[in-house]
Amino acid sequence: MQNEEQHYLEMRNIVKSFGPLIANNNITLKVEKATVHALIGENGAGKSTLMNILSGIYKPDYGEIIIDGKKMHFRNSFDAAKNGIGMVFQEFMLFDDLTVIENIVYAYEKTRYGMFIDKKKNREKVEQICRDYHFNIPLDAKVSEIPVSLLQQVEIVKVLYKGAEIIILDEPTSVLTPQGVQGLFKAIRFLIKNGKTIILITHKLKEVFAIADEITVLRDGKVTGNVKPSEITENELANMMVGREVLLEADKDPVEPGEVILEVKNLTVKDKEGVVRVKNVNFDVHAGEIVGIAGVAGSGQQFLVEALFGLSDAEKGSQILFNGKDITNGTPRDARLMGIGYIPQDRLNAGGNPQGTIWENAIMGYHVAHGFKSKVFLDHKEIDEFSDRVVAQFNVKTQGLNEKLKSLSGGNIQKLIVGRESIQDNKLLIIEDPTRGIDVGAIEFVWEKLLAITREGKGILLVSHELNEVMQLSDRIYVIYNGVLIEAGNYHEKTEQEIGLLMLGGGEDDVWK
Amino acid sequence: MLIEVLKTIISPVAFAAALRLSCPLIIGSVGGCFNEKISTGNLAYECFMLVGAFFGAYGSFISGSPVIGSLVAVLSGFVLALIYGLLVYHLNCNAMIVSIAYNNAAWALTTLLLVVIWNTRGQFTDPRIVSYSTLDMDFLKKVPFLDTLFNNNILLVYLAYIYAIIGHIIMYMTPFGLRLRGVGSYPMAAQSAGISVRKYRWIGLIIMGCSMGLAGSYMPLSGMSLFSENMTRGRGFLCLTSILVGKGDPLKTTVIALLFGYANAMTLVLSTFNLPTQIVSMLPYVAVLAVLLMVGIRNYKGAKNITGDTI
Ligand SMILES: Nc1ncnc2c1ncn2[C@@H]1O[C@H](COP(=O)(O)OP(=O)(O)OP(=O)(O)O)[C@@H](O)[C@H]1O
Ligand SMILES: [Mg+2]
Repeated sequence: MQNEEQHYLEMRNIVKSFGPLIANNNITLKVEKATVHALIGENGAGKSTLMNILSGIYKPDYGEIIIDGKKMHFRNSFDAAKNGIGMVFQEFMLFDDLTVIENIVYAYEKTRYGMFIDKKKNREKVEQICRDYHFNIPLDAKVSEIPVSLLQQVEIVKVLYKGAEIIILDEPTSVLTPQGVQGLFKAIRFLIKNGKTIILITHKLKEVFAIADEITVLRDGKVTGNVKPSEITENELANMMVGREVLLEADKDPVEPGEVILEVKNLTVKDKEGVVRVKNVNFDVHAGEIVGIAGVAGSGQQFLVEALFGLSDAEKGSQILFNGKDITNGTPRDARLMGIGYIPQDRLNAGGNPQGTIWENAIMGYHVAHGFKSKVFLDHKEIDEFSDRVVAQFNVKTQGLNEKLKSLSGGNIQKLIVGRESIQDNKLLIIEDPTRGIDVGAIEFVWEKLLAITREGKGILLVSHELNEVMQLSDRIYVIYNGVLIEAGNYHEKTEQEIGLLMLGGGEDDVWK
Repeated sequence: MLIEVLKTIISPVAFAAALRLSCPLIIGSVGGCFNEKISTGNLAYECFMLVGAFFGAYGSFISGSPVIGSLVAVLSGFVLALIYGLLVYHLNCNAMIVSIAYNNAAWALTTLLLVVIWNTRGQFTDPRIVSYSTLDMDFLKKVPFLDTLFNNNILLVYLAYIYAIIGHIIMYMTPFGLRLRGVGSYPMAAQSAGISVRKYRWIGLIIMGCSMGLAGSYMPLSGMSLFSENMTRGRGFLCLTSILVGKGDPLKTTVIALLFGYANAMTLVLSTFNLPTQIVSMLPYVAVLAVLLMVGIRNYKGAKNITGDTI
């Protein structure tokens, strides 16, 4: 065994296959102590699989894991956790019904008399960690009641509580707002300073350059590069990931907006507790244009979209007109029948059925609306033809139409749902975060698709937390802050800084009224 | 007359009856909370209770001891749970179908056993089915109100309330309870924390089965010394309702079970008046509907998001 150089963590020659698919093909990963190591790659490249092996969830078919010179054999995730591996999953592993502190100590509770949970001791330890690493989370709130950025912190505190030395973060920023990302990075830097090691999976190259000490690139289950951020440019890195040239800019032409498709007047929406979430909003969408709504998560965009699609009730006096027809407080089914497509933010559960097959998910929502409606029985030829088209056009990496949705990688689920709604013959598409969690190659692809859709004369309402995306794609931009919609000019009229300021409530005075 | 009825409704005797009649509901539903919290999909409460009632009677009949009767009932619940778990967890049968089959089969099974063992139909009364005797506590004698309320009950009644408290402690104060709640809330997350989901599902199921069996044994052994066809008459479903309304929280569930017990007591105390029996015996079921309605109204706002009734 050649041992020129001792690394803190080494994964050597890891092989893992699922049936005929080789998700990890002889991957070697070397990580130094107290650094941030970025693991990047296209959707389905095998990043999550590799990390699942490191955290003891999957057993590798071949290969070894060495930590601090010691060979490890993790029998399960308990075992890996005992040896200092902590993983924050792409999909949060939190219990909605339990409180934050219960989630943190879960399965690692300190006890009194060997029988009862020692609430005091648990709390002391958790509070100590929060103090040491500057986390500020409400320990007694239920998980279902706190915002996503805090959930992330809960996950991190959870792995720290278990004594993690190596912390794996699988796409931690895809659910965060810009401030959330800043907060997370601050925490990461702090963890590094305290000797912890971070492995960060992300699709956002800017973040890689902002925080990583070293980068490993995967493609199709193999390592295609191992570089330091200082040695490479953003474009070179993108090319390394995708294996071809990618543009990091949308190729947008000025458009001639057509007639009005969607008209929203005085829309007000309250949530279950009766709190006003959308305040007297007015805007319209014309054929052939993209109207973008930027905003920090939780500013009311969710309620706005739900009201448009008939998932939430609008208050009295609100009016939503689609092609001149009043659809205020209609049902999602009506909306779909009339030609409104919707891509919800929660792709896995609101956008699809994780237990369902690829083809079921590909026609979901359209089994009555278009194409497949004339028959009593499902026409499998037509369905297969359509599903194949979605899979092919949107580059969904799958082993076949009968595979379960949940076994797809995160980004591929995304592509399938976006593809389903885009290919349909809709007049208006309402889209939330179309490129969350997908790789740069795929982002470029989805952006092109959306622009192509508008060229066909359809309208798009784009709601995104990614300001860059809104700015690149939208003909007209709005910012939503605290339920109020603020005009932010036409394409490239305002700078990123100006709009960013509006998103944080630093805009005109009428925001505060 | 109205005044008389009202007086009876809030008399200590009525409350005492309520405390007594709630006993099987509480024992069963507190155990059932553990089943509910891990989301096994097991709805066969009526079956577990009715079979428990039969074996409670049988155990007491052959041994002459009500305690042994109850133990046999617990054992019957345990066996039923084993079969259920085998079918649903290991052979992947649909939980709903197995539950329905269980509930339907219970009546047939106990009636069959009645014929096979005691060679009778409808009802078997025999002094050899020894009931629990009531506990007479001297110190309560001097306190008039509490005496009526709490004295002279059988062991199981006192046990029920202790059971509720122990249930609460286990559910909310031990690692076991925390882990169990987590398994029910999001099995994948529990698994990623290294918890064996299947183990906890088994334990929750077995706690439910044994508790429902014990609850069933209250019926024949609370003084009547008999077993009759379909003796539980929907009490298993009352347990299920209590659990659902109480959201699997042992103490809340106990409160709901008490409410049903009280409605049940009404059917007894009001029978002295010349009210139509049909109406009076409807009371527990009306109570169920009333409780569901109240809960429904409380949750109404925002129902559109939850039920998806527009789809
Ligand atoms: N349990 C599984 N069964 C079958 N195939 C799987 C399973 N888990 C992952 N795969 C497949 O293995 C490949 C790699 O998946 P993985 O989740 O590691 O990708 P990823 O790099 O994390 O992608 P993303 O960025 O989209 O999350 C994918 O093609 C995926 O469909
Ligand atoms: Mg992944």
